[in-house]
Amino acid sequence: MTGKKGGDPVQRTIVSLEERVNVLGKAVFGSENFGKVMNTAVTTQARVQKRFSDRMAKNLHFYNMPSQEDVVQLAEQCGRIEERMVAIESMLHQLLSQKSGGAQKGPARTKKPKSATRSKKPDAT
Amino acid sequence: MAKTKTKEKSTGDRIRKLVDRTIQRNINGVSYFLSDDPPVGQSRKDIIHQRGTLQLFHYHPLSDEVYKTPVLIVTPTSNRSYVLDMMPGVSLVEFLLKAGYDVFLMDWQPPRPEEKKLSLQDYSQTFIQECLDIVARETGEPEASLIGYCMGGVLATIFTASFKGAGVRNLACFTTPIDFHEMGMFTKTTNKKHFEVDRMVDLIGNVPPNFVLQGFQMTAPATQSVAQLALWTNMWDSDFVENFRKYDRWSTDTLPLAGEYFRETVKELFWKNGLLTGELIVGGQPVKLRNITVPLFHASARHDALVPLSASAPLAKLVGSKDKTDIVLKGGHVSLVCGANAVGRMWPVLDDWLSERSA
Repeated sequence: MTGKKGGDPVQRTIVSLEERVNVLGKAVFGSENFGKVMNTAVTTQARVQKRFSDRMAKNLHFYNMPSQEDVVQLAEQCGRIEERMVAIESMLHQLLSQKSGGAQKGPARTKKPKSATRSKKPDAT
Repeated sequence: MAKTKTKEKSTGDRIRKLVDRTIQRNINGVSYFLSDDPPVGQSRKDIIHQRGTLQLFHYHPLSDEVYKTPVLIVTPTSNRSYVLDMMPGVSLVEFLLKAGYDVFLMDWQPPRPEEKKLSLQDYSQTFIQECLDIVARETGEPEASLIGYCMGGVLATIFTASFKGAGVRNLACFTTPIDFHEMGMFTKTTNKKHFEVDRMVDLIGNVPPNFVLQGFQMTAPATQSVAQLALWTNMWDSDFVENFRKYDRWSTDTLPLAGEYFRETVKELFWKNGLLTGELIVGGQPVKLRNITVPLFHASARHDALVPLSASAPLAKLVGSKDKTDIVLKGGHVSLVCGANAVGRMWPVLDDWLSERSA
């Protein structure tokens, strides 16, 4: 938004106000005290979230249901399988390309640099 | 007499214009609140690889003949990749395709809870190497040009420096921070004195997107409100409203960050400033910028509030490349790569540079 200082006085006022508020905001948000408060707020929020999730895991365990941690462990296992699949897939592709002689699809990769086409043009005329 | 008539006409015109705009403002206003998100990322593509948070796109070529060297774009991990393919006519991807490049793009999906252990090594070495191998397999070309935007540029730089440019023919970076002590608000909010990154990551795992978004908004707190005001003023203009919705959607569509990756970024880059000092070690590989010897293109924006010039300027100075181009253009962090500013300024310069090094 800044940088567009047109002739409209309202627009100019808004731009100038925006700049001043941004400077003020940066001074406030960049201060050490604000940083401390933010850190306390973020860690408190995270701690509450963690306690709630622990309590929920206990309840789910009571009802013989998987908790988020169990699901995450399963997903991690799937991730490891996925990783091995990728490696196998890549090896298969390598084998296939060796067999097929590496024929490539798509347009020809023969485009010349701009300078070459520019220097060619005068010769053609 | 004639003067009065003109005045009357202009007053009448003004009233008519005011009424027209009011009607149009109401129509656009209602549609703004009722319609779905506007379509973005419309260039035709195939998802040729998918693993957890990573997706690799291969875009359909838009020219009969392409350059020999393919292009692999590394997008920032905190935002959606469609900023580089916002809409037809304002899409870096579409521009590159039309200019004759074979374009691949690394897109990030929100990391799942089990991906909280993904590290800087996974993002900057494993994933990029995996994608380069697939690009080589798809194209038959052993080398590709890496293009990185913002944090994507950091990942591409770490990769190129770690493996001394193996598999990379050219490196192009846009607004890539190197001196993390110059990152303004981000440096202050992640200050070692009060930011307990270990406790935060240990407690919550992946860093939620609203935390990332707040970090971005704190760099220019008034801008969001002024943008809303600009929207109201221009609500009568359908094009403005549509474009605003696309950019607004992108700017608030932040991604969560994998916990371990966030922890390492804060400790190794923000606290130790390892990329600038050359003390960064990723996956056992020392990351020294002087090891980058491939041709380098770096573009930064004069009015960048997120990555100030002082943070990105060391890149071109510290790399070992003999062939390097460092340009500073008008505009901000986003307008450098997307929008009218990018179409007229950055893209043609990038094309001229890349064209000479891609055949």
